[in-house]
Amino acid sequence: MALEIENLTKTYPNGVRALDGVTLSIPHGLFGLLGPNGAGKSSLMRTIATLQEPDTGSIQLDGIDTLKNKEAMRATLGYLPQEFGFYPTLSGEATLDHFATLKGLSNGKERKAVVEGLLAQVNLWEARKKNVGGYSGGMKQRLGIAVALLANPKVIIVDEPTAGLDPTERNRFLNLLAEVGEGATVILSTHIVEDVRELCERMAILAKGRVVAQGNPEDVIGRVAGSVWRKVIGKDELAEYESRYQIISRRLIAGKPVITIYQSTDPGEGFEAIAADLEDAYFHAVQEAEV
Amino acid sequence: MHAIFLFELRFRMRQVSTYLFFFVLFLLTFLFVTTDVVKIGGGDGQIKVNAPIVLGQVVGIMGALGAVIASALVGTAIYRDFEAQVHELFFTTHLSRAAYFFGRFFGALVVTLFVYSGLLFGVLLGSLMPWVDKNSLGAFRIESYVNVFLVILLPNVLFLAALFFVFGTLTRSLLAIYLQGVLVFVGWAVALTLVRAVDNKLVASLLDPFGLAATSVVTRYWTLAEKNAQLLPLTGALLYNRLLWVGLGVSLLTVGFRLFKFSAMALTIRKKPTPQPTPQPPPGGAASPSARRGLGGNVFPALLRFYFRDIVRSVPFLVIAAAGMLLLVINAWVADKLLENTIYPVTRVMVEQVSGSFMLFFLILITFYAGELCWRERTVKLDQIADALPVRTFTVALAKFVALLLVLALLTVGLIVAGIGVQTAKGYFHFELGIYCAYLFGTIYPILVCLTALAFCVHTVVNQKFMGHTLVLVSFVATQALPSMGLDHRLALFASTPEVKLSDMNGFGPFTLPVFWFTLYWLLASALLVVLAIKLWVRGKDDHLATRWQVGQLPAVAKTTAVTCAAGFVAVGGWIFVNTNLRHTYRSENAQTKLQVEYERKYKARYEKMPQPRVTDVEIDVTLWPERGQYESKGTFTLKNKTNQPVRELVIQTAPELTVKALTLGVVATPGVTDKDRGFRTFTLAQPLAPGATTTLAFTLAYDKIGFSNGSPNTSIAANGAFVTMPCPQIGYQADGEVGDEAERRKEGLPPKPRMAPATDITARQNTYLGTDADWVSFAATVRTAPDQIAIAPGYLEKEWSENGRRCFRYKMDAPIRQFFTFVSARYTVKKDTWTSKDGKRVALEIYYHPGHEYNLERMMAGAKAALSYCSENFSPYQFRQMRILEFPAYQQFAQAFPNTVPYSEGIGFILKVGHEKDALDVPFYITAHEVAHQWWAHQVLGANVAGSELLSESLAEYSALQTLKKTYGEEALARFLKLDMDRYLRGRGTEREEENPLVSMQHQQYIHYPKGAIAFCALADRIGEDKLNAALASFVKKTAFQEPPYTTALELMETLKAATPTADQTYLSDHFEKITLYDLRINEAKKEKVGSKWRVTVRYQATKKYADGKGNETDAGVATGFAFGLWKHKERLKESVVTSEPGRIVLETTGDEPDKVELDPKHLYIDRTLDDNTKKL
Repeated sequence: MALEIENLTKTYPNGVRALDGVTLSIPHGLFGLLGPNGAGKSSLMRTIATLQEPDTGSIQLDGIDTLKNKEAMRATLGYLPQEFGFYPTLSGEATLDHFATLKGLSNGKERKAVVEGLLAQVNLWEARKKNVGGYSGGMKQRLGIAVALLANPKVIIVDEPTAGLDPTERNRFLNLLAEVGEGATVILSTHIVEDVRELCERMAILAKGRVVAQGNPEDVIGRVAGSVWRKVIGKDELAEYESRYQIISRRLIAGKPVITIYQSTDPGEGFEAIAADLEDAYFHAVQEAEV
Repeated sequence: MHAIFLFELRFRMRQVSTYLFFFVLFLLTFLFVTTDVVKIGGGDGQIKVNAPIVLGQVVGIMGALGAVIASALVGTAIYRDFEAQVHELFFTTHLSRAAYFFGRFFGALVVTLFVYSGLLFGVLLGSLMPWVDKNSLGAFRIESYVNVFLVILLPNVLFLAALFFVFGTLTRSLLAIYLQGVLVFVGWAVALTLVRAVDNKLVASLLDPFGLAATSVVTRYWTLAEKNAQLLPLTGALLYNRLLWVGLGVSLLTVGFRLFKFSAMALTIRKKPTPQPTPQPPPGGAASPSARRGLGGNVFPALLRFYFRDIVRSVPFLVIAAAGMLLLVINAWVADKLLENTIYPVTRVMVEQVSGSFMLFFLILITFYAGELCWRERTVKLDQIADALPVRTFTVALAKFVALLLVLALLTVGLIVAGIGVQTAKGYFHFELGIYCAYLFGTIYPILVCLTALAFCVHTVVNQKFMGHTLVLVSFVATQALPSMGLDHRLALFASTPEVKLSDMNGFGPFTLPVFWFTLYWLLASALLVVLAIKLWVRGKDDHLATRWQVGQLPAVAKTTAVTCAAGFVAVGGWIFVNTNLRHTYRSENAQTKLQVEYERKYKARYEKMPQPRVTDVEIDVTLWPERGQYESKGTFTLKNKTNQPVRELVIQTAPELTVKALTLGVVATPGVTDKDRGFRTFTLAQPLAPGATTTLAFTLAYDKIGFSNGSPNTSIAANGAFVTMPCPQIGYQADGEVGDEAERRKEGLPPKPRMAPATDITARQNTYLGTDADWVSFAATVRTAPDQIAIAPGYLEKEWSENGRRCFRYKMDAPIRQFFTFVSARYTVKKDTWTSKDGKRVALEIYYHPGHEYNLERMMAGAKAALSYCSENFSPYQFRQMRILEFPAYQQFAQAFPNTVPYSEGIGFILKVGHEKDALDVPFYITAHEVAHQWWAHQVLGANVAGSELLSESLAEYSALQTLKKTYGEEALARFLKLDMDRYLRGRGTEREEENPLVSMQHQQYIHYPKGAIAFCALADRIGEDKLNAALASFVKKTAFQEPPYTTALELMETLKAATPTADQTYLSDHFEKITLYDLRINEAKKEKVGSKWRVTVRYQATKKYADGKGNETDAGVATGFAFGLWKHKERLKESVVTSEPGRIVLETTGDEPDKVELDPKHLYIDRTLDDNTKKL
């Protein structure tokens, strides 16, 4: 299934322009949506997930206008929002069973099998009888994933899914996502570049409500390739460099500031050219949007 | 400790629930003051609702009901830390155990006090509302509120808080925390019942933790003026009570603190074992593709089941339902108490009781859960997941709506079970499941459906939880409050349907039709609200009303439904309008008052004193159509000018709801005023009617309305049990038609209406209080009714036949009667008997009763016979040849004596349960005797329309009935009735609005004419001798029976009584009849000793007398004398004799049994406010 998003705009009543002419083409497979906090990722996710009306624009799922025909989207959607909870007095198993029913798994036996399978898949088998109110953050997150994966959705939207997970859980989750990504259109919204790099064939970068880059990760990196330079500087020099160069990232390596700048020509001054990676491309794109 | 205290305070003050609880309590008392929905304690209309005594009661009772809230607030203070698993954080700081424990406690205590103060604020704000009757309010005094806060509220909350805090902290179980609130309330309710059985009032008053019993002990002597003015005094029983419970609270807290450990271990009774995880590895793999389903309409049952369970398993539901059921069972348990009597717990009474008791809880549940369900997913942040599911919006919305309806239905079934349970427990097995179901599911449940729809709609539209709750409650209140503000058309009052009064005889009767249409009307409106709620249902993050309106989608069926319902709503509304406003006359309460005001303004001055002829002969032909609720009354009055002036203009008054089909005078006359709205007409006679001359008035009046009205249906022409009184014109201006309420008169600028004329007013003595247009009349009537019914009118049956599909009866009186007659018709079974007088006169006795109500027929028959014997032997012969008792539906609760005819409500007497125990009160016997005695005292001797005249009718009827009772059941039965009478009188005088009068000048005051009259006459009989009194009464009857005007008065009776009373007892006579006299009799000390074979008892006592004025101010009147002493063994009165007697000391002697109790005034002939100290255990 392919999603065609065209010219989505959304301005909130408080004046914040969350989406500003977003046009995206999301094919089958894993699609990474990168962007800093407040870039409009969640707004976009919610709009695709039929939870929010855009002011203008259209979303087509295999040619069906899902803004008009929300059911078409909901029927095939698995959605994991950024923030969510569950009925606290319901057990994990009962929760999953409830949603399975609502997703149309009316056959009791079949549903039981699906629920049990998913519980095992997300590693909640042991805790399935426990009330969700007693779940830890990670467990809750995994249960959310299980709910999103119920009934083989063709479109899966996961909004910042790895935020609360420990490394093991994160790996496990990403593997799971890669697995289902083979049979569905998966939109992974995140601000963690690594997630996208590891998983996605296609991606987009969102900043200030606009798509500032899209394509496959190589394409995106290609836009900055050859223009990224790095230098270890003194602590007191930072301000000076900031005024002279377009710094796309700064970090500490062994206690010393290391800056990465974007410049199409060799800046000299001891800067060394480095092979741009996705993170550089991301930072650059975001920065461009903000200027 | 300070920090913890502030932390707790801040935390609670940020919680919406704190304000919600505050608001709930606030609303309860607000409603209590401003509407009739909430009835808690106080309020009999005389004591001001903001008087400290009422405030104390309200705060006490609601405090008990609100124990659940206190528990939720206080019980969770420490539990919360454990639940949130932050207790380790606290326990590992430098905080001391005490600082933590008491800091939390005081924080929670202050918050609870704040929440409970909502009760006081409710009264405070309620009393400022413009529509509240200002007469029910005293002046605003801040000290009343402070007083109640300090004396009642603070100690109550302190005790509850200590109890709940300690148990909540020690058990750390949420269930225990909620349950303890319920348990306290239950325990309290049960204890109150038990306490009533405790003899010692002080002990009893100590046992009530909420101070109600203690308050009533310290205030029971208070007159009305004191009740309205005095603050609750912290003395005596109340002081001890407060000290006891505060002390107990403090001790609990101390013990709790000792037991509280800074550790994670709770004092759990039992811990649920954690379920063992399944050993086998779970099956792997995700769902098979075939599991894919489209949009399932079939998820509705699943959602319904889910939300239904969600509600019924939630703690608030369990608590509210349990509290409601508990209150319900308690109320139902005492529903068979009618004043001091017990009735059979018939289904009619039970069903009204169970639904009435639970209504408030229904409202609470609807308000709470409509909001909760609307916000269910958002509350737990599940909304985004849920909203993106392939489930249609209307499926979710409807599932929530229907789930709540199912819960309400479940509870309604619970009401039936509770009702039947109580009936069974009382040994009554005639369950009438049909009535239960029809009443609860036919009249109550639809209202709940409407309110649920409204609540859902409000919550959806407003989309702010707290605001939604508020608005829902406001709208519930508004429906109750608006009628008193002038908007009382049910078409405009949401979910307003007539309140059904059931009758065993007539079932749902005339209520069926209006209830059906109004219910249908509001159900249609509710369907529209539901559709609107679905349309505006919040799904996703765009929750602006405008967006929701644009985006909200309705399935085609909903659109069709909406259109159909809207059309139906308009059509049914139109049909209702046709019925209420066109077929019937609709007037708001204000318009009705205006009508009365204008009646007085327009006609009083000119017509009230105008000479009018009087009715002398009545010939009437009444056709009843009980099956369609109509009747026609055709008749001819003979009018005679008994004045000494010519009558030039005739004034004719008819009931406004009757259609005047014809009014024809026997002389030439031209119509003057024709005022149909007020039924007021005048005719100018071409030739004035000379003094002594006669003419006729032929009339045809009809109650020919069809359909139904906006107000209460006309129950007088019931399908089974018609009871139509005086369907005829009245001659002259009728002062009864004026506005009676003094407050209303002031508002309208009318002069105060004079109370009854004094007995010396010779003009007033031209009339009796039964009417102004006749003296004694000859009477003949034809009544026609449905073929399967028997119709009765005063008189003797002359003929019975069928004609035009009516069963017809001809009744004729052979002696003159008062102009006071009624027509009764029902499907009766008749019980017949005969009474023969000493001189051989035979009187036919008949009881016309509803089959199934056979319980007390024998007792009633016995009462009638005994009264006939007593009165005819002691006063004068019975003037009729028959006596009939006619049962009528329970729309009204009384028995009323017409000439040889006594309509008697099914609600009293017929279903009374007279115990088999020795001291059971035979109330049916006594009521019947009273009504029979009225054949003498009202239908032979009737006083003028002046003050004190009820002494001649009601008091003497009561006296005759009690003497009859004594003759059959003995002295002790009489004493028991008099004890009840004394209580009725004393309680009654506490509620007097204007001024209490002595018997001889009383003014329609029911609390005087029955009970005090009975005591006075019985006391006089005891003092001067029953025979002597009766001889005097007989002479009075001889002098005044069947007299023409001027009519006799209480003063004339007093002359007779004075003549019969020895000089020594004149003061006694005067004290009882001409003054308000109260006695204070008490035994200080009593000793018994055995002297030979006899027991000798020495009693030291005190006996004083006080006179009270009309306002209750008392003056000392010296020592009281003349009372008797009685010795008792168990409940057996012993024969005693007086050995020596001197003021303040008496020595009694009895042979045989050893006495265990001595009683002063054992016959209860001296009105004494404290009977407790009249007895002493030996």
